[in-house]
Amino acid sequence: MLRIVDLCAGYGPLPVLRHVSLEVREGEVVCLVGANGAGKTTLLRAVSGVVRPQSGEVWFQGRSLVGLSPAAVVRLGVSHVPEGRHLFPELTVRDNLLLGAASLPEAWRRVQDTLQSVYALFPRLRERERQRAGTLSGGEQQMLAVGRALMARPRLLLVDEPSLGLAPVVAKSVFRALVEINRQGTTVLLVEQDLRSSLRMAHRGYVLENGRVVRSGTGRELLEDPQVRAAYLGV
Amino acid sequence: MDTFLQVLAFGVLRAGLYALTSVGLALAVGVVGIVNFAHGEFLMLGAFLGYWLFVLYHVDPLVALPASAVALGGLGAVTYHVAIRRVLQAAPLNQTLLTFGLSIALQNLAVVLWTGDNRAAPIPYAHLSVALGSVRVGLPQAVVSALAALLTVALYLVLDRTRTGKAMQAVAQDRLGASLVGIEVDDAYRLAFALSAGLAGMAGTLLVMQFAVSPYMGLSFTLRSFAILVVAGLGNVRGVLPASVVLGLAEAFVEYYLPGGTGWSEAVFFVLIFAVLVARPQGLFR
Amino acid sequence: MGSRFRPYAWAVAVVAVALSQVGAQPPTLRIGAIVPLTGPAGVSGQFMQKAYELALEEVNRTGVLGRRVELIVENDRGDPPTGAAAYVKLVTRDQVVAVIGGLQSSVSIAVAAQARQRPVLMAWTGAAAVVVEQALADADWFFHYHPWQYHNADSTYRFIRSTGARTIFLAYEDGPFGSSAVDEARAFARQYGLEIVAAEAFKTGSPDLTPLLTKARGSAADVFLFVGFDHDVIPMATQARQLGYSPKMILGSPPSWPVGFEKLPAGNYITGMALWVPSIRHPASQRFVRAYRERFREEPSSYWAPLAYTNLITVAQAIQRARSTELGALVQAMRQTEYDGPIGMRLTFKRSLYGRNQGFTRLMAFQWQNGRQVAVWPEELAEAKLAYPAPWGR
Ligand SMILES: Nc1ncnc2c1ncn2[C@@H]1O[C@H](COP(=O)(O)OP(=O)(O)OP(=O)(O)O)[C@@H](O)[C@H]1O
Ligand SMILES: [Mg+2]
Repeated sequence: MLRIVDLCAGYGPLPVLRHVSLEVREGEVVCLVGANGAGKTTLLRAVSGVVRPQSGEVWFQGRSLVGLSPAAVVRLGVSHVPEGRHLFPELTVRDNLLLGAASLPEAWRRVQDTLQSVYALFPRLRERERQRAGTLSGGEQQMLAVGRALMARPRLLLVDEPSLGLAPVVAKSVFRALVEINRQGTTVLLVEQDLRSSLRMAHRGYVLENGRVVRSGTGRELLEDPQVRAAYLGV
Repeated sequence: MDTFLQVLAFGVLRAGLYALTSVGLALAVGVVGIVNFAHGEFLMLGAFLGYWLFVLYHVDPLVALPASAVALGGLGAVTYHVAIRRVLQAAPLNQTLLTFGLSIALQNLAVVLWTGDNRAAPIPYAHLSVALGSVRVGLPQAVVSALAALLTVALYLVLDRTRTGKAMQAVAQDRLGASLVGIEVDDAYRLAFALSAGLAGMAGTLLVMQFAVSPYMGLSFTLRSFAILVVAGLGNVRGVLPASVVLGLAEAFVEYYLPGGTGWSEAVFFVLIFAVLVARPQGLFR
Repeated sequence: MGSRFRPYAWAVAVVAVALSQVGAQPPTLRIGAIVPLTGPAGVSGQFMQKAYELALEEVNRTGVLGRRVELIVENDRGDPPTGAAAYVKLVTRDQVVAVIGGLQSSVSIAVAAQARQRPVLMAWTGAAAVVVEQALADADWFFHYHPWQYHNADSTYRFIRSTGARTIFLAYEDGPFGSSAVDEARAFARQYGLEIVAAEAFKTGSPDLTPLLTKARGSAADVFLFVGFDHDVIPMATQARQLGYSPKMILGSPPSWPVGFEKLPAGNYITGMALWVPSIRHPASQRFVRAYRERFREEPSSYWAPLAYTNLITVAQAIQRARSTELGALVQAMRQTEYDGPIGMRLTFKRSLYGRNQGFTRLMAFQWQNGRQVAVWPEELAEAKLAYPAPWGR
């Protein structure tokens, strides 16, 4: 579904990603792990058009994403839940969600259905429908960020560190929601620091180190890999 | 009591003028995040358009409004495309210099085209007034205030009730977030800037009914608009109307009731800015 | 010869022709003019430039001291340093026998500083600010044409007195222009038996003068005297009519009037002071207006036109009278000036409050009547009677 070949990307002249190749297949949850500054966020940004790749290829369902604007990438069916959420703080929860679909004619036609399914997934959001997004708690904001991305009815969801700053219980509920989203047919590329929960729910995973893929395998394989355990789980 | 009502009316009418000339600037600041020093020059161009249409073709400024909205809106879009877009990521100082330079360039262009003369358009009804009970209201001022209210409320409705308006708010609040939900940020900015210039153009055309038209006329309105933006809260489009009312009423009452007060209206303005910046930097109305 | 050399050949030819011309004629007599052709006073400056052209043609029909006069016009852009530099250039490089022109006070002060170091005959049209007069108080080579501020004030109050009015509400813009007017207002008013019942400042460019006008109406003064700029006159006139404010006279004296003011319904019957208006009843003025119209296909609607014309003509006459270009002789000759020109008042030079050689000392009054500036005072120049009390709205 998503195929990245030999991708180099960075900010200005400094390279962050060096010749990264990876693949996400339809229906999978793929997890991308790595230390701080490894380039995980940069990779998601390169896919969604926020950062322009220096070289390499990004293919989504047979179409190249290189050089497209973020809006064009969303229109093709790739939604990005960015690091730091980037909600619209002055607007209500409901407006934030509606905006997730408003610029996409396809999604807008089915906006009420999608809204109900997002509310079903995150009942908290329905309760807080009229509240301004800026006043939500961190966990609620994360739910809203995921919910807003889902409003586009994406086929591929890119999620960047949804558990950041959340209490373990709350993080767990977000992960559960992602599993549910995947079960309903959306492919997920997840970036996470919380290796244990994420690799456990992922079909496959990649380990990024200094902008290079150093390991890949199923979630279980990576969890059991002694080097991964030593480096990231402190075991 | 009659005098009080009359002065109240002066203040309200003045507020209408202020709102009309400021709301476009608030939109540019609020959505695009650009402090557009050339706003007054867009207004000036709208005024010249209205002036020439009236003097050469006897087109009433009210009839000329759509033309100036389209012309200045177009100019705003072009300005965004060739200039503003390139400094969006630049330091605020560079943005300021750019719009300031644009302001001076447009002013000089106007001088070259039409000389620095102050010009009066002999609008036949400019000096008429209507009596509401004991209160007299100048006709052009009443028209300006009504249109100010109409255009401002229309703008609020567009921002609040339409998808495009919501998209503009989204872009204003989080550029990256907006692009990730499929909004073409560049298009939204261009639209907001065009709307801003179009509103300035319409305001300028309406000014022809009451004031001298000259290449230099924009500056005093730009300055007042900045005061109103500060009182409203920078970039808060919704605060423009109440902030204009506060300023308009304060000025009118000081001018009338203070001995020698007419010279103090400027002071009202700066005291207000100062007080707001110190006590409530986010603006009175947010 | 290769094409490479052709430009040089041309240059040699041009220089040769130029030299032969110089040899053939007596050297021209050079006069320099410093005028703002651009900037805020550019419009007035362009009237001056055209009038100079007209005067120059006339002067060169006979020549001066058997020589042709060459006028070198420098644009000061309304910018003091530019004006000062222009003076130095005219005096040192162009070796002019006299410097004429001048409009704004700020530029005049800068030019005065240079003139003190390198004096030539300075026949200056512009500046009404008394600081300029003081800056050149003892300079006997400085001849000033325009009335000073206190002359303006004197004429204004004398005119008001002539109408039979007694009380005045004075509204003045709070910058240097308006404030200087208010300084002496009370003294002049008292001198002519008038009472200023209230003086109120306003901000120039202010869009809404209704509270001010309402106050003025409350004062019930005979005259509403408005000292503001041309862009202030429009809201003043319009809003006065909206409020039905009907004093016996509204008198405004902006430095110039907005283009198209004559067509403004609210402007009808407003009165103004000026050095000159085209409608005065005076043969020289009428001749000038005709000549200007014919030559430039437009109205000389600013008094700066006849003033500049007067300026160049009188300097040329003085040089002729002096039979020399030596400064002392020129000054003597200038002092003998008695010129009945287009301004409509005889020009002579007399001592003024500080200065040695002051030309005009009086303004005239006009009233906007049905689209025209009609001269109404003094009587000898009047075209029609002042409508007093003004029949507002009729
Ligand atoms: N906008 C930017 N400009 C310049 N450098 C940047 C920018 N964003 C990130 N970087 C740099 O790129 C490198 C990779 O950053 P990235 O955000 O991709 O890391 P990450 O793997 O997501 O880290 P984390 O786990 O801390 O989020 C870092 O060294 C970072 O400092
Ligand atoms: Mg990251």
